[in-house]
Amino acid sequence: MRVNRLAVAAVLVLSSGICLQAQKSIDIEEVRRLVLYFEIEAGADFTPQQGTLLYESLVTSLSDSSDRVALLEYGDQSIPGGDQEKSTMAEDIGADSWLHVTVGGDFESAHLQVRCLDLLNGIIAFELDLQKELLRGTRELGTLFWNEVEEAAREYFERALNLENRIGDLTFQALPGTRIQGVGGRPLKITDDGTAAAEVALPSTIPFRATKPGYWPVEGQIYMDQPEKSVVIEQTPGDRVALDFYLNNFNFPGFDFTFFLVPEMVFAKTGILTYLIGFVLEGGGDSDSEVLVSFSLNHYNLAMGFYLNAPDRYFRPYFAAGAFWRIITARGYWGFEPIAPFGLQPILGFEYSRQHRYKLFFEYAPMVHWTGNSDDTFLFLSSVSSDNEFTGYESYRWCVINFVNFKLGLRVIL
Amino acid sequence: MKESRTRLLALLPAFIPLLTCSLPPYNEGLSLGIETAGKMVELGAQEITVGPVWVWDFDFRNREYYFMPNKAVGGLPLGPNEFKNGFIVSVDERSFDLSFVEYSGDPPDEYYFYRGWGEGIDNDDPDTNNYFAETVKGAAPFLLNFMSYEPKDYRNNQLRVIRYPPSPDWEIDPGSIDPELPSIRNLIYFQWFDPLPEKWPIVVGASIAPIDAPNNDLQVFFCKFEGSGGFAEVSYPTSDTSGLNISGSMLHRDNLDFNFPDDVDNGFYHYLWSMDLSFFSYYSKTQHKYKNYRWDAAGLLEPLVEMERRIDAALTNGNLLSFKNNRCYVYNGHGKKQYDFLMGGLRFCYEIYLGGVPHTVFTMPAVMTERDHDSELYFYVYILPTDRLRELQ
Repeated sequence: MRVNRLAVAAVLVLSSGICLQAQKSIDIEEVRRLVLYFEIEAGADFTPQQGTLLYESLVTSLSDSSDRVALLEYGDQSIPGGDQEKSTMAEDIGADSWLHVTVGGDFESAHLQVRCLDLLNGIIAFELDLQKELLRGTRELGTLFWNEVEEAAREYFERALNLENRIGDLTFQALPGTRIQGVGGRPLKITDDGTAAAEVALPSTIPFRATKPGYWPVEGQIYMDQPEKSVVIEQTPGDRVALDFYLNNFNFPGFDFTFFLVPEMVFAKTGILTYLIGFVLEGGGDSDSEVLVSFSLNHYNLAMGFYLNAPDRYFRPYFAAGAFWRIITARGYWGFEPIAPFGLQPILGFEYSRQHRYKLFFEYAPMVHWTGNSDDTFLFLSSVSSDNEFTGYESYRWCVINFVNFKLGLRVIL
Repeated sequence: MKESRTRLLALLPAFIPLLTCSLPPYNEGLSLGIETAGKMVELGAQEITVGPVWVWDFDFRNREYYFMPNKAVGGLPLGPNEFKNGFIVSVDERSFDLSFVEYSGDPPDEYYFYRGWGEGIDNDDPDTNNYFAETVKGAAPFLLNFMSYEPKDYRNNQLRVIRYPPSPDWEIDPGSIDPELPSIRNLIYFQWFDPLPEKWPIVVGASIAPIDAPNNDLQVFFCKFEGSGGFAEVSYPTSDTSGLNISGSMLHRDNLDFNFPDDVDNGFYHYLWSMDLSFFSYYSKTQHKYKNYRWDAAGLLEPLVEMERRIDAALTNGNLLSFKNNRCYVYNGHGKKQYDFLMGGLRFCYEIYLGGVPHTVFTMPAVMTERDHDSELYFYVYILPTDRLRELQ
């Protein structure tokens, strides 16, 4: 976790392309989902605080009973009457078993009625009828009070998974090449006939994630309650086109058209960065008071790149590389800028959005200006505005690199 | 918690604008000028680099400035010091300043920079002729003739001769007849028209015409008579010691009656010594365009109706130059467009005879700023035979 935080910080500070996992990864353990119906018997003598203590201590005990049991709390809703109604309600909220606990009596001498039903196997897992005395008050709630219930749950669900050891065949149908994680402990790959099969324990709840380049990942979970089950994964192709609007170095506007060669993953982009109008906050321009500046220079850009993680992530780093051409649109001359007519540009960037269509992006995009000889390198450096106190330029015989170049903008997916 | 952290990190770039603010590595004048300069060199132009000139607290950034090199005495090949000394002319809407670059020669490639002389001028109207500045051939110490025009009252137009090194002042007296009346109009009047009261001249325009002589050119003044409205042309050989050779003055043409509008008292005037032709442009405030004319030795006026740009220079081959929109437009002597080429930051300084062949001289500045107050100045001088100018198109 600490390492992950450091990685995130490093990306932002250095704009490196380290891949981030901003969302929770999938737990491939097969677990049972147990919903808890808890109620205080009519006529019982418990204060509301005591009732809450009983409930919370029960939840704690059941949560600790087994790693194979995921406890679902039912809340304050009215508890269905019969077993059938309880089972229906449990299925509606995604559980595969339920536990009904009724507490009567008072805080010194309580009467417990416990009934657990396994929906997958259609059997009563266990039933308990207990008389409990709280000799040492609330301290016993966390240690002894629910021992029998906790032990019964542990025994049943461990046995249900380990002893029955039934195996089922789970078959996925998806596009060839799709990779499926979360089943059987290793990734499945859909073969050319569009299927992939795995043996899984019965009964079990199986979360999965299906990915294929160019398609949106599909996540879901399967209740494996039959010896054979076939699941069809509906995969949606990713989008092909995006438009970028940005400010280069936060001063000059640019526009890019992006076409995804592999939807949402591999892209080619072309665009224009213009210096015909720019905004200078402080210290730039020909005078201190100038806010709007204009230069008869434009960049025509061409680049290719790829994303470093899946398209459904909120936070997506990417890398691209390309070239730019410097074009003058001055009065009396339209054409390539003669001193450094073109250059190369690596791009390390990331985009962030909690929704798909509009994304905020930030790029570190240093420019390698190709001059070709030392004379033009000199002329290029003398073209650097003397108003730039910190220019970030590094000159070589054949080129000049501008290390301080960023883009901040909005990406619209069409 | 994790989501909010991610959101916060994503917003961090929004704060970076507060930290960076940069302009593109681009100088329009230099980029455009170097394109044509490269062609000049390919055509055999002599390229001379003046610099590095170290300047502390370089203060030309918001001004138009250019290098006006000294004029060689005329021989080819050029001497090692030719065109390496010169004045830096710096102007804005209100002032005209001169600095001087001196080439040491020993040690080689060492230059000295001297701040110098300044004068307030009225330079906010781009359509009028507000000043003229050109170095004087063969002068050592170096001289520059500076003519300023005063739109508020053109009777106060002044010719000054600036000298480097100053002794003790930069400005020297070209030798007026009456020290109490130092303006050029007084000089011309008392030399040629005294005591005619209707012939008090106003200098409408002036220029230096190159001649094929080792130590002098010809400074020519186009004058309008206050009283009569007629015109005259008076010339002085330039002097390598005093700027103007007063005693060599000539009255080229007198009593020219051109029927120009009454308010034509300022314009761009050029004289061709080799053809004895004169050219004049003025901006018509009623028609909102330049009106161009030529006249010959007999004073026969010919409107150059095809030419709508003003005449900025007249070359010895009879061609006319006009500078506009980063380009140089070349017309023949009758105002018909011939061709044009890119100028950008190149500055046409003058035409000069070298080895008996007329050459055009262009300069272009480049500035390398090391830190806030420490700059390296470079000036590129290009000397191209006038007849090869056409190949720049």
